[in-house]
Amino acid sequence: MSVRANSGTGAVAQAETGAARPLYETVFGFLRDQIVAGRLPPGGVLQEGPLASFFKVSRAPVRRALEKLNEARLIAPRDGRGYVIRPGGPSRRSPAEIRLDSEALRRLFGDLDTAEFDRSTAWERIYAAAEAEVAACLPFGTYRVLESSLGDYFSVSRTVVREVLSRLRDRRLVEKDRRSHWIAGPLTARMVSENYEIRRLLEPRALVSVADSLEPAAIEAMLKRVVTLEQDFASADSERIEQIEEDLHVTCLLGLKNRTMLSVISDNQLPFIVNQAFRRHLGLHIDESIPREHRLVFEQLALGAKAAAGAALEAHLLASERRTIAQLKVLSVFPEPEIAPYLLRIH
Amino acid sequence: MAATSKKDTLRVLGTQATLLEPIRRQAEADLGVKIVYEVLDGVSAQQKAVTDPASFDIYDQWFNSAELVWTAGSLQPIELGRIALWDKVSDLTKKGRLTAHAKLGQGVNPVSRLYVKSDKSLGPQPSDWISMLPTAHNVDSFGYHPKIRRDLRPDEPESWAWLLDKRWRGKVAILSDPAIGAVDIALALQAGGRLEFDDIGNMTIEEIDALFALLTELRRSGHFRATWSSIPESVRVMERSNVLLANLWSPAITMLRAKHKSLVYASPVEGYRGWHSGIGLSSHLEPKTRDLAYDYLNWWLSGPAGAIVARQGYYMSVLDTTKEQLSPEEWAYWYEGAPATCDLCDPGGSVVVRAGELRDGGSYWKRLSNIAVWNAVMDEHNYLVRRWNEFLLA
Repeated sequence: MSVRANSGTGAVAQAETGAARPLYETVFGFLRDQIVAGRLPPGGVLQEGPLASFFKVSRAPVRRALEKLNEARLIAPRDGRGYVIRPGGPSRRSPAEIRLDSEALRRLFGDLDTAEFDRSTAWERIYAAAEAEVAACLPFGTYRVLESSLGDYFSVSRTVVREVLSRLRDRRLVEKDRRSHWIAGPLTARMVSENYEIRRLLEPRALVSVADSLEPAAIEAMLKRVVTLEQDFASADSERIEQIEEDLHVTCLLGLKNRTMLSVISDNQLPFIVNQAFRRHLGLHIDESIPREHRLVFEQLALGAKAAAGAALEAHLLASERRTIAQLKVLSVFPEPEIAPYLLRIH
Repeated sequence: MAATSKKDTLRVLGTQATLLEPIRRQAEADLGVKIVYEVLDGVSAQQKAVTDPASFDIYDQWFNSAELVWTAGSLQPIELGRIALWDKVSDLTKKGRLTAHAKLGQGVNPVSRLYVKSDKSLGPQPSDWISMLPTAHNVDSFGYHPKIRRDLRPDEPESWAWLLDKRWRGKVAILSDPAIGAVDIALALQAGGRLEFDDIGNMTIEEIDALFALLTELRRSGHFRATWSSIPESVRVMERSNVLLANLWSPAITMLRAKHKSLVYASPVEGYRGWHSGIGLSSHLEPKTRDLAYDYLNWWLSGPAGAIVARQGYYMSVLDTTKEQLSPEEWAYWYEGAPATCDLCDPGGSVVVRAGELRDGGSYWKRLSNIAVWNAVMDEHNYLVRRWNEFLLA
């Protein structure tokens, strides 16, 4: 569930850390210093995805850091997406663009010690990998998670293994059977429906209650991203799709005062496993209705029509449920992918 | 009709059910194009359609696979304005039943996957676009050797329960396609009073688990002699003298009869399992090939194909043109359920019906009004398929 789920976790975790210096400030400070010193050259293209992956953090702090760099006029918004590093001095000529993917960033900075950015505990450091591996197997059968093999695989203690499993259970990716074995899967159409039913009850309500606290400029920016994607549908890629999904289902809800509701929503993301497995097997396959459904929500938000925005979100979730169940059926033609060694197939 | 040149080729992906050599030759002659058939079993054809839409121009398969292949983005909508005989297509697919009082049946009634909605999903509400053009169809049951009659109680009606009845332990073969085979097994378990299903065409996880528990028990008891996945394979299986019952398709029955194997195609009291074929257009079609593909679609409704499939026991979505291409004797036997007034041949020219014989189950309208369930790709299809494959491999 990489991006969506991690962002969800990250967002909640970040809101809860209450550390002296917000993570985005650390990211901002690092990038600012590198740009000013010329190590990040004019023309360099900065995008959320590669930066988040380089710093091993979620996208939210990277986005905030980029916004601050833009406010400081060190970078400029780029057509489409991302930002480009402005030339120093009075030069008016736009420098040629330089791709800065996470590989290029690693070449520039070597193996930068990202510990400064990494505020996670031992279990958090391996959690994303374990979650992705467990999630990947769910549509393909029923598996037992072998605790000791999991520990060996990640070279962590039993305590850490239990932390990971308990978090996986919170997110409904594993459960304990009567013999106290940890069981993952199968992910069924009924689970997808139950998940969406909960989301339809909670998310529209959450959106209505945070609507007033959303910055009009932020709503406009999210609406613009959706409209741009809808108009330029042919060039849609997974990064842009994940961006609009995160806008609607994560970023919009971050200010929710009811933290319990927020954590239920972010722990209730099981169906994305189906969407991701579908993409993995069939390539990017975006339904044209998705940007349209998102646009309807943001248009209502922009007008201040909270209830209508909630209703549009509910309609979107209903359509997503139908698409997800259809995708799960398609997965039936694919054999089981390679699974992690700590997963044992039961059936 | 599109202007054609020598190089024009249409690649059709499908199964032996409808990819018949006499149809291919006739279409080539009538349309002036080269037609290449890729004939696979149902599961493999569906998998290829999902994973490799560039490998075919036309997909000729069962309607129950339409949603799956559609969701994978492998098909493009068919414009009804370009289907000349659309008005002649019967109500079976347009409304879900042939006559006003016929059973709708559980499972995937083709009408539920026929029309393309404005949001590109599929549904039963009429629109100007369809997912697949409805063509051949039939109702299936199981075939049995007449010698099992000696084991029957007096007046015992033909029932799906026979397929899993211990009286014929070790003498039963079953079909390995889960969208069809699992439905037959469920019909048999329900008919035998061993399991109750809320909806056989959309089983729950618990019902699927219960089905496999019983199926595994049956296998351990040595109930099943063989499994089959294609029509020729089912014919080979039935030619073994020790197989007395199997869920079968109509062409296998006619082929076996051509080989003088006596076989009854049951008309179970619980009703039949229905299926419907359709022809879809690959999402990768070039505009020029698309014109040829529409020619092929229109040709399928024009009569010759309907007549050829009728001779192996299948019905067509357009009756008028099919009737024109059949002899009155053929029409009377295959469609009206009347006794054959002369010997009749299958599509390959072998005599499969002898004068005086009667089609099992009666007329088209009678058989089609008794569909218990359609072939089904259920909500829990992915779970069912994985349990099914595990069962087949064990």
